[in-house]
Amino acid sequence: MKALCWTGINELAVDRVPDPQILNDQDMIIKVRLSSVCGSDLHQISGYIPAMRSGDVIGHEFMGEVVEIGPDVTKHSIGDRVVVCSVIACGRCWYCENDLFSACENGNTNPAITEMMWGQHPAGLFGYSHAMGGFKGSHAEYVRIPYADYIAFTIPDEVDDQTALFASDSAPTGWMGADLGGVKEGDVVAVWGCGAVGQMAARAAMLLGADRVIAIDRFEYRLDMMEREIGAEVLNYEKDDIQAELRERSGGRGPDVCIEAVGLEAHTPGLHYRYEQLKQQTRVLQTDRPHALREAILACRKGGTVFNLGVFVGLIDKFPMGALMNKGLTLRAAQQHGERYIPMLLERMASGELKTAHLMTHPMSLDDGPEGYDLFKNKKDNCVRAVFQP
Amino acid sequence: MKKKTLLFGGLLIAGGATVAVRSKIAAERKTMFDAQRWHVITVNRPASEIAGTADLPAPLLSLGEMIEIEIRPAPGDKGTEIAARLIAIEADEDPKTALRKLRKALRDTQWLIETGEVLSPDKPPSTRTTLTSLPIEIATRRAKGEGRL
Ligand SMILES: NC(=O)c1ccc[n+]([C@@H]2O[C@H](COP(=O)([O-])OP(=O)(O)OC[C@H]3O[C@@H](n4cnc5c(N)ncnc54)[C@H](O)[C@@H]3O)[C@@H](O)[C@H]2O)c1
Ligand SMILES: [Zn+2]
Ligand SMILES: [Zn+2]
Repeated sequence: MKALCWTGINELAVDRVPDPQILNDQDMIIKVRLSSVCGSDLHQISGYIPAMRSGDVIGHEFMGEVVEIGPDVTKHSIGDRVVVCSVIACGRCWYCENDLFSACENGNTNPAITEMMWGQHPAGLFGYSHAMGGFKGSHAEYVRIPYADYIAFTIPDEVDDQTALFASDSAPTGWMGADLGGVKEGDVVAVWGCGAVGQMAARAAMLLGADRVIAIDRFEYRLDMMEREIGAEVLNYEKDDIQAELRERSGGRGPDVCIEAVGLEAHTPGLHYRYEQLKQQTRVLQTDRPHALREAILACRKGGTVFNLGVFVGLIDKFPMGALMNKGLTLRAAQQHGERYIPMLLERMASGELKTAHLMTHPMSLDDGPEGYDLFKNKKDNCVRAVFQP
Repeated sequence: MKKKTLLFGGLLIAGGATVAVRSKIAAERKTMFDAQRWHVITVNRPASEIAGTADLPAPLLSLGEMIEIEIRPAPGDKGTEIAARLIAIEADEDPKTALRKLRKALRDTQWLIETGEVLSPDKPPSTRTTLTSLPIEIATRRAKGEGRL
């Protein structure tokens, strides 16, 4: 079959790869209808995610149609339209039973790699390096879905493909940031990053009752989309004094909940950015750039919560531990626990409460994969999500 | 001057060799320590379901006399703890290999008890061997036998 493969740092190629097979009784195979780019892929493409190999099929936000089922799959039938969570989780270990799906014990077939890096191994992920199990990704004609009964969800008839697609990764990720960040009625919430993840976090905060949601980025087209499609207030960190604006807009207290949706390749204006990039290139002084996380910790009100959604892999430098400690903050983070939110999100999509279709700014053919990533990575042509139709 | 440089270079090499020998000794010590200690998994099943070794799936039992097993309830409703350690390694077996077998058997046990199957890695692979892929190839080949378990 045809697939989009990582072939080296900043190199992608459309290639022929072997068709997937049913390897476990709980597996199914789907024919991909839509498969989106995600900010996490950028960290792989730039070479920050370890254990990538030339020929790895990337992509993890996707939906499609069931074409083959293993003998133990009970919830799906051939022809079903499903959205698949990007996180491969068994649904039955202690972590899954406690709604911590991305910490699943049984989703990662290469547990040793991450145990050596992080002490314990997290769940598997589609198209996300051998450290996360080496599963082939979704920028392909077909994908093998392990634990199909637990990670694939039938799409209600009222929800179109383009809307349901984002229930796979960006919508549950954003929802998790607001939910586990503890957003409640009357809160002021700040969100760093106006990509799909930041937009979904802002929308979730509103639906959970936030009084004000303020989103931050530097790309005007993304700020415009955040304002127009989500209804959040926006700030441009290249023009506005973010710390001062956030204090002013929260009665001098600072936001109750700060959500970071940027990750390890964060940008910051000025010379400081080059200094941080240089340190990151050494892979010794730091592996990840934490500008947005630092800003979030500084902005957060005393006793508030910072939820880090952006992907980090290794070490960061100059972490404001003093602010965190002395302001009594709670810091939380996770790869998304999508399985706990997807059915609810599909319902909200069906009722029109949660809109996502606008995120697909660039529908493209899989053959145009490398071009799609160029648009997305370099934020060209007002790209928010390039979506491939294999 | 030249003599000094030579002497300095010699010291560096000697120093490097000492570091290498030391880290080899440390690695061997770690293997010996790991070969003696208990390796433990917690499975999400009540202890009443796993009363004795007879209730365990095949992978651990297949290690036979090589290991000792302990089963106990995990505190706080976290399921059942299954602990195992090497007690007799065949004379011709490298302790590292024996340890890898033990870790893999424990991981497969958890998979079987909790999900009924051992999850298969994706295959056939779409990857190519390159100049730099060897370390990842080795790491994935041994992925269940190594780690912190
Ligand atoms: N936790 C999870 O499970 C999960 C899931 C999906 C994505 N992610 C991560 O979320 C992050 C965002 O993903 P995305 O798909 O929206 O990516 P994206 O690239 O579309 O968006 C990131 C946005 O952050 C902005 N940004 C950069 N530096 C900033 C700064 N200092 N302050 C404010 N904004 C800044 C960029 O301009 C960009 O618009 C990535 O790190 C991605 O890996 C995590
Ligand atoms: Zn993602
Ligand atoms: Zn699990």
